[in-house]
Amino acid sequence: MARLWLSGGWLVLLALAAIFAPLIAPHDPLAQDLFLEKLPPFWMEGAEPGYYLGTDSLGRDVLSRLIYGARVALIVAVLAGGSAAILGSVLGLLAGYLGGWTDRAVGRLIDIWMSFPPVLFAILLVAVLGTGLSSVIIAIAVIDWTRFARVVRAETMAQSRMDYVASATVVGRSPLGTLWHEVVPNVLPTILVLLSLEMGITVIVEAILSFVNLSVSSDDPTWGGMIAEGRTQIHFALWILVAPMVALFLTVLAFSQFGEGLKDRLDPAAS
Amino acid sequence: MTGILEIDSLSVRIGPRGPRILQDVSLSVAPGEIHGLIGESGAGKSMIGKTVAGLLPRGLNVSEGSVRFDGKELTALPRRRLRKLVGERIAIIPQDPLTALNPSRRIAGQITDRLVHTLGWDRRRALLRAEETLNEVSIRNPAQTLRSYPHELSGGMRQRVLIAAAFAAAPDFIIADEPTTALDVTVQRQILQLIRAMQARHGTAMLFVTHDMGVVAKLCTRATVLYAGKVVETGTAEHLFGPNPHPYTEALIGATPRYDRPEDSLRPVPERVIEALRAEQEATHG
Ligand SMILES: Nc1ncnc2c1ncn2[C@@H]1O[C@H](COP(=O)(O)OP(=O)(O)OP(=O)(O)O)[C@@H](O)[C@H]1O
Ligand SMILES: [Mg+2]
Repeated sequence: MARLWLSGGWLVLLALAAIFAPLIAPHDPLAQDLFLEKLPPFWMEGAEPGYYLGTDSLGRDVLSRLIYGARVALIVAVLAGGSAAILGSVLGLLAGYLGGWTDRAVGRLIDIWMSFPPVLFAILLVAVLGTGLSSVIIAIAVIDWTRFARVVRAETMAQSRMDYVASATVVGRSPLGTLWHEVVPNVLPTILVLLSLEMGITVIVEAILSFVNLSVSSDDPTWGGMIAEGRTQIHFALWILVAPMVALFLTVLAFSQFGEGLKDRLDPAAS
Repeated sequence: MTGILEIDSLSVRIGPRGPRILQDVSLSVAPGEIHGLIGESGAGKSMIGKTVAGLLPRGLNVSEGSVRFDGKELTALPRRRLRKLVGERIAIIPQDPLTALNPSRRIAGQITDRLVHTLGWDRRRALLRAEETLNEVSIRNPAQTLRSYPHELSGGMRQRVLIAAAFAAAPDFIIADEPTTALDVTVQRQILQLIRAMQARHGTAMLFVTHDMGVVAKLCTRATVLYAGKVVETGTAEHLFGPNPHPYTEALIGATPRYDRPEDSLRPVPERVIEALRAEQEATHG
């Protein structure tokens, strides 16, 4: 229970920071000031008041960049995770419920898809689609729908064998009505759990893509971009690297813990 | 004699040329009768019920014979018409109250489904009927039960809910597929009494699937004994429990626990009875 609250709390905090970034961020995340470069965070000697987490090699405020970076991370998590969830769940539901050739087709597609290494696949896709946030989102959705489709298909099959599904069709519901009213509510908890895990994954993938400079333009603050840049300063200003890594780590951890907590919470047998 | 349900030489196959799960099955249920359908696990009892309700699993088809319900030939009906007819006139009390109720829907919706979707009642009226019927099956707090989710009810309560759901739409025919198998013994007895009382009050004809001869003795006017997808014999309870039943029926009776005489040891169906029965079925069905 505690982990649901802790992880949920962190995610809410992050979401608020992302939404109200212009109000919260102490500085313009893009403003460079070469006189203020590589300032250390507030607890170290030589810190400048107002620059709580120090500045990077161009004198930009690390905290402000982190806050704006949360925007990109969460936009990708919601849009890419959500699209993957919808695409995969719809295909999984139809395959599991209709069976027959629909199921064989979707099953085959999943097998083919899963034989590609995902990160390479993503880089390839973004290279084709062109860099930018929307390409990243599309690439992740196009690659990760299989995570949902596989599990949702199996659960839908199990659900379809239940007596209440059979009786719903006798009682006069249409096949789609049965799917929606009798099957979907029972598969939904699983989808939500997967979605939370998936959002964590998308945050990492976005970071990797911006690390290799395939995500948003390199000026815009992203955690992956900050990590890439911090890496070059590792011997002079460790905080530039550590700050985005901690944010990334906590966020990914929060998504996965939230998913796990949700799983325990939503299991009807456990309640 | 014309029954409300007349099954005549029915065969069901897996695939177009596959093995027969049911072979040459005939049985007839008279109006107002509880007709027992008894046999060991895998005999094909549930398949008979599923054939009537149009719920055969994918790949299984009626290959020969006829199923007439109230004079209408069901095997000739398109799936959709069959479903509609079944929805309006035939109810099912399923074996396992756990898989028969949707865990994520409240009881109210699940009892009223048939009234609302098939019979076109408005929701208010359907809810009133649901509450009445829950009263009839001795559920103490119908209003609260309607608001509950299945996991909040005990196994016996769930089965009462399913019985209520079956009777709520005043069907002409009920298929009860081992409705007490998943329950413990004391609850089983209450549920059997309840089914008998409800059936007596409404006069609904019933096909009662079981593998327990004791249940047949308590509940049924007549019963059909099934083995390996074929009918062994059909008879009144007096005949089946009388001096001259088929040897297989007699062996089934011997294999049934008696609550009133628990010290009697159970006798499994002897090999030679099975062998004799197989030889007999070979001879008649080929
Ligand atoms: N989907 C299916 N495809 C092929 N064969 C099936 C299928 N479902 C059941 N069968 C077979 O049909 C036969 C009859 O099954 P049925 O469920 O009617 O048995 P039953 O008499 O109801 O047994 P039980 O007492 O265990 O419920 C069994 O041998 C079973 O293996
Ligand atoms: Mg059965």
